[in-house]
Amino acid sequence: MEITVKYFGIIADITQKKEELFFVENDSNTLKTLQSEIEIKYPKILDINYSVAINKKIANRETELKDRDEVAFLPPFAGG
Amino acid sequence: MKWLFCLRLQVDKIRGMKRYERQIILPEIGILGQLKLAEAKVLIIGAGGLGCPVLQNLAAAGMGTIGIVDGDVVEETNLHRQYLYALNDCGRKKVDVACEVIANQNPEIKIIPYADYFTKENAPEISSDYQIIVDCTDSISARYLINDVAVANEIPMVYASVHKFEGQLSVFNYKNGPTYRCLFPENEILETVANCNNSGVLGVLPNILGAMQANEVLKIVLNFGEVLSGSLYLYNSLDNSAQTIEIQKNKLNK
Repeated sequence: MEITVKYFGIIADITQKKEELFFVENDSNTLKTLQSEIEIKYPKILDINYSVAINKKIANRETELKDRDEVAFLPPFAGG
Repeated sequence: MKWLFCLRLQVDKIRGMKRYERQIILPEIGILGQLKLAEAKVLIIGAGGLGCPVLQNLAAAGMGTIGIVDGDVVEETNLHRQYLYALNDCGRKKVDVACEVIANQNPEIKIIPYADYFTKENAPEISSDYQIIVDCTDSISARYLINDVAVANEIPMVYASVHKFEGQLSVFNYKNGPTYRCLFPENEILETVANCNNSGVLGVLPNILGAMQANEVLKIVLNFGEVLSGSLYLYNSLDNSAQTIEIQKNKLNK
């Protein structure tokens, strides 16, 4: 499955990119699996509390992914 | 009959004001909308990058009573984005300067300063008289406190925050809608998130987001348009991209 992942705020600072493509095996298709893969690639994300949206809807870690889903990593912003 | 007489007096007073003429001619506002604004009470927490434009926009629109909470003093590093303040205000309490400037801009409205930080201790007393709370703070822990106060008082919280060139905007706890905790469940590592002091910000961004917060406040008070409840609006000033993320209500947060 091809998944587009978008990064926001401090998470985009860590990944140094706004989005990237991931290829996920069809049999390990929960958001949790993808999150773990991304957290291994960018371990500093583990220091951030963030929410995740799938196709512009806030999702939980057990949500199943489908081919061509768009996943957004959304940390809270503090500035004001 | 007395209330009808009072209403008549207020309507006549507003009709006589040139100040609001251009917004009163909007059918969505009219004299009655202007009257609603005159009677509304809004509490702004933070008189910084977001708080300044929220205050300026709401005061100019004729929001009747505005409470402004901030314990900070004006610093020179604030001036590139906090347009209420001038160089010779440095060292003075932000709320004192803000009240003077706003009183000069619109003497028809009432500004109540609270020269203190919003804390668990003073929150109940400060917030009890207001119908909307606007979150213009620069810390995550303050946002949770504001959220909890809004939930306890059963009033909406108009939220915005910025990170470098990105902004977030939403209205929480509006008509029993999702809260800040539904979007970001609390976690002890949250305080590590950077604010403007350590990650930097260009002045226009909080001014854009602050104007959008004021717009949400006006829609809530005037009961028109679509209030940004159940949605997180994300804006990027570098490429002008914007998107809206749907937030579900978690019933445990009420």
